[in-house]
Amino acid sequence: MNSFLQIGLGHFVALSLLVLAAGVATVLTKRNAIGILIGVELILNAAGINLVAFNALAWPTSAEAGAAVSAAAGALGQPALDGMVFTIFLIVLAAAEAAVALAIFLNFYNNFNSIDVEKANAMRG
Amino acid sequence: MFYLLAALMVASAWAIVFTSNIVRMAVYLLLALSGAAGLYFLLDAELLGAVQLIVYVGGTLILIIFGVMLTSREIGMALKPKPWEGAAGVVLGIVLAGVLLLAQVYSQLPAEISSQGAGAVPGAASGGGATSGGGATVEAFGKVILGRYLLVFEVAGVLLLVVMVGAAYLARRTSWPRSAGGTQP
Amino acid sequence: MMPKLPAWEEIRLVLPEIGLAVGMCAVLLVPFARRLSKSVPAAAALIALGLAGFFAVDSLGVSGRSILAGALVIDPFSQFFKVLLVVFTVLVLAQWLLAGKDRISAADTPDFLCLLLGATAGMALMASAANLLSIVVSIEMASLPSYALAGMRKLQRRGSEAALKYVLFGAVASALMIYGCSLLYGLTGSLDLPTVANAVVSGFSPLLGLGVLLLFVGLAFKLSAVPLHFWCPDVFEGAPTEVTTFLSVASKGAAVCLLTRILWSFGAAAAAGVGGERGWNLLVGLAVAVAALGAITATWGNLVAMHQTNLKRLLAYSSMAHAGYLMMAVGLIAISGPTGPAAAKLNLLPGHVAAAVLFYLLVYLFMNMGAFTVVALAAQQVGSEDLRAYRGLMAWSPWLGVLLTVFLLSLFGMPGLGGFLGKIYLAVVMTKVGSIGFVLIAVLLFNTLLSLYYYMRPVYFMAFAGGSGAEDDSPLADARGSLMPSLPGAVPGVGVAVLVICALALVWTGLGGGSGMTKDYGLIWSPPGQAAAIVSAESK
Repeated sequence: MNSFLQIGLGHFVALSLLVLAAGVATVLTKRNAIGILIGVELILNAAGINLVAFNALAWPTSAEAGAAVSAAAGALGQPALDGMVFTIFLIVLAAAEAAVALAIFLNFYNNFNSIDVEKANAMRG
Repeated sequence: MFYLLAALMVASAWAIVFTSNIVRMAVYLLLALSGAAGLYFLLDAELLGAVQLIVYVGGTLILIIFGVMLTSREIGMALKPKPWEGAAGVVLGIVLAGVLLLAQVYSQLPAEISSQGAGAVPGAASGGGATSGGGATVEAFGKVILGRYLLVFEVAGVLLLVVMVGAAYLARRTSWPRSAGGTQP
Repeated sequence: MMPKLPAWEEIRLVLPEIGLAVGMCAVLLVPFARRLSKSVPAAAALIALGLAGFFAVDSLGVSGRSILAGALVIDPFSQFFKVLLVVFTVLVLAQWLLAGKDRISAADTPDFLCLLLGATAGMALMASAANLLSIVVSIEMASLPSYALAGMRKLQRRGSEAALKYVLFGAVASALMIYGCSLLYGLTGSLDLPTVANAVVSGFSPLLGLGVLLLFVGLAFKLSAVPLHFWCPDVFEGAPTEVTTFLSVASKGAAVCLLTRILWSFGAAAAAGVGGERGWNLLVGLAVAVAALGAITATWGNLVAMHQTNLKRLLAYSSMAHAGYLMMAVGLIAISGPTGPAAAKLNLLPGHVAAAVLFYLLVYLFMNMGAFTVVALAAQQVGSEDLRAYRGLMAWSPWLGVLLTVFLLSLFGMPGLGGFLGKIYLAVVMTKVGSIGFVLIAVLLFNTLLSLYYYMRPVYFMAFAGGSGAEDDSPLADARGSLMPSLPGAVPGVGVAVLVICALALVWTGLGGGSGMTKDYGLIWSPPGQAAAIVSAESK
């Protein structure tokens, strides 16, 4: 990161932190269950940006070998895709989670005729 | 290009915080997700960008929009938070963003390795393919997923099966009280 | 180069999980052969569990090793937990067959069994996961079916409310945990727990701290540790009793095992001398933080449990308290070790902690199983889980009354029963870390005294309140007329068998049974290049 205009890892991490903060704020402020789910998707995307950016810019080769000899990194060949593979599974998990969550929301809606999470107060103490 | 996509993502992410209309939230989420896909392309992870667009934007988001349509028969679709709650949340979010950025300033990030000169986002001069992201071909992905991460791959498959069963159970209308033999298969 | 398939030696070690996955498919396919039966899919599930249990017992002797490119660690600690998990799931199935079967239709039975087996497989994987990605995937594998299970009673408001709260809290917690993992990966360059642990211990930065914190958020959710505990009582009350039983022991047990493994990977890094004095101080902070969180969780759970009138809710808060006790001991594994600063300053080996955790889980399994089974059976007869409904239970059904008393006394920690020895072993771990440990023991004692009050309240209601039947307005009084004649058959023989097994197990463990076994299997693997090798409690 020599200059501000040159785009580096720091920019990606800052972006992901901003999106994370937006996601957390969404989760905390929304009363609509689907709104909360949207906030969760934001957090997951922030994580995805982190994973891909770190993988592409900082750890393109396997860490065990690459970190020590960064000069010869290109020669080591074997690309490491840990972060990107994680991202693929993250997308799968997000889809799975959304499916279960929406089924539960629908079920809740059928029983309560609303998806206002503040209506979920039959049980207390 | 990065700034364009980043601005799109941050703006739509924060727009989600500020709006209280669930349909708008879904549209802003669409923008944010597409922005992330654009960033993946920028980082030379074409496969991921495609997966993000197909699965996330094309699948998960549509699922969410279905959820919105099925559940938002309510008046105005708003479910407005109480004003002070909304304000408190926004303030908290901004404070959180500040704290997180401060944390980043005081943290040492790992050195960038891309030999094409630090800071040069590989995709900026795309077509090269020999840059750091060049390893992220579909073939390489396949080898890693079925090799090193075989277990995770298998578990994810089983997970999707369970999720399908669970979601189908919860979402279908059963009239179980007359369970004697009348329920559908 | 084609990706190489893992060797048979490695596949053999994941056979328990494979057995469960095959069982999931089997229970879904069986109805095609013979439609609308409840017992056939249940038999298929039992066979799958039996196979999984056999394979788990078979692999008990394996000395620790890491398989599938570091995705899993198989060591006696994880395999012993898997045996416990399978035994427990069989008991849960028995409880379901006894008391919960009528609540769902034959068409839905395979779904229920599939979700149950899926959650079990996820929890088994949690006990072995040793890489950030497999940790995340196994936690999701355990959580997503649990969300659906919590909402099994989908036509009841309480059931769907429980599921909604569970899934919302769970989704947020797991999203934050995944974000934490992304930071840990980004700053350390690896997904493997040992490498991550080495990097965290040797060079700390605010973002790394955030990563570790968020990783623990996901675990704290599964353990219902204090800031993230709101879901626990509601889910436990709203879910069907057999699901509550399952979640209270299996889900929390798996989370405890995973917490133990993660903390030990940090501890092993320090024990190998990584990070020096600064890393050691960091780990002391981490251990104290986890133990303190456990102490707060236990105290909070016990205090709130005092004014509960619903027995399931009471047991939910009690399970929070027990998770808290376990966390208080497990936190200390971060500062244990045979070498390095841990050995120089303290006298604690990771094997001690692992053995104590296994023994506690062994006992807790039986006592919670027993207590919840009584609740399920009594609720089936009385139609209520309210404490007041248990008035005169002792006179109405002495068997149930006496057994419930035994289970509650063991949960409290009555000498002579397993719960007492479990707490003693946790306390022994705490004595080894000096002054922090004595504070923790004081908290443990204080909490045990607190819990006496609410564990004895149901006993009071059963034995003394309204027993004369004078001013009875309880549902039991109405039910009594019709139930009294059928008393001998009121509780089926299998139910008595399950309960008696649980009670005998408590007496056996109370006399010290099983402690040798858990000591033998309290071996937790540490990666090469960190601490010496596998560390046993015996080798001291």
